[in-house]
Amino acid sequence: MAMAEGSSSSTSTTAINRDESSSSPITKIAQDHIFSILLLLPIESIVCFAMTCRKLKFLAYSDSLWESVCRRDWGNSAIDALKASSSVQGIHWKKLYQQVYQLDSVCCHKLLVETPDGDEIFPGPRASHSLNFVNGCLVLFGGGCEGDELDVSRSYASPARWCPDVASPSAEEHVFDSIFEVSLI
Amino acid sequence: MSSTEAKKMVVLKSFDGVTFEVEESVAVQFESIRHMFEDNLAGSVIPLSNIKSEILSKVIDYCKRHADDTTDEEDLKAFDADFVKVEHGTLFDIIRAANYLNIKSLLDLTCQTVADMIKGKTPAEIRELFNISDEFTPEEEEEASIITRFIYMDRYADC
Repeated sequence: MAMAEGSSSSTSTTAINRDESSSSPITKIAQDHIFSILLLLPIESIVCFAMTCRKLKFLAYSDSLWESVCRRDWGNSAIDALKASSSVQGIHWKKLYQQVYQLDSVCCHKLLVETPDGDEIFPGPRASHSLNFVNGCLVLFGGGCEGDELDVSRSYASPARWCPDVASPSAEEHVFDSIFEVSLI
Repeated sequence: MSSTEAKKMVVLKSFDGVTFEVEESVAVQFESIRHMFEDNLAGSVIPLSNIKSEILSKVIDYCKRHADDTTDEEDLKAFDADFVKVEHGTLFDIIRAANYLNIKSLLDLTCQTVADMIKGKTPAEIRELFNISDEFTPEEEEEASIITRFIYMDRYADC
């Protein structure tokens, strides 16, 4: 009689390393279950698990696991939206998670504005800013600076001052003057 | 009349040829083979070709206890806690069997048990726990050591 296959798991249930009877008992179970176990753990433990041997590192660093970790920690809607976004193709989930995780240790750079006299000064406050992800950095672009009611600099915890022009440069230069670069360590 | 009626039994046969007679009310927890005895195949022996008798007997014990409505929740928790106090090899065999038979609560219990073992341990401790042989190059070893120190800074503070 044909035996029913276990139906709970998806297609990738090949047990890793079935042949080596002498190896660790954890290699007895399927990849899916290693993933289920890792998804019950905090990030630190997943990383420590990965650091035990090459085979488990390969598993614990796989992007399919990290997509699930992202879903677990950020929610399905965020991940679905990210995947639906046409501008993002082939997301590197582990790297993405790492970058967002490290936002805790963010560091701000103030960009100086050069005056016509050759001095470098900090730009003043601006409103209507936007935060964008550019080349692996989060960048704040400032908006207008005159007549705006909101003083952006006061709404930030960062001691860095926010940005506008000094010597009436062109509109384009305004934008670049007012970039705050937030780099990920 | 119905109370005296004999309970429907299901016969399961392990990989090593041992047969187990299980009440249908217990066996319904085996999601993946449920159709086999529900489709009037009762009475015939259901072979479980990749579960050892030692493991199958444990899994049946678990399902019996969980099918019993009279057990209160505290007792069930104590039973579960005791149930997973087995050798690692046995625990992983139970995970495989729970997957094969598709018993979700048992799979959750055993996976959580393994996760709890790993939690808070350094890579070296995890290797020791599961008897994992180290195949890293010196460079990878160095990377592992840096990451561990970073994660467990407080533990290494005294070193």
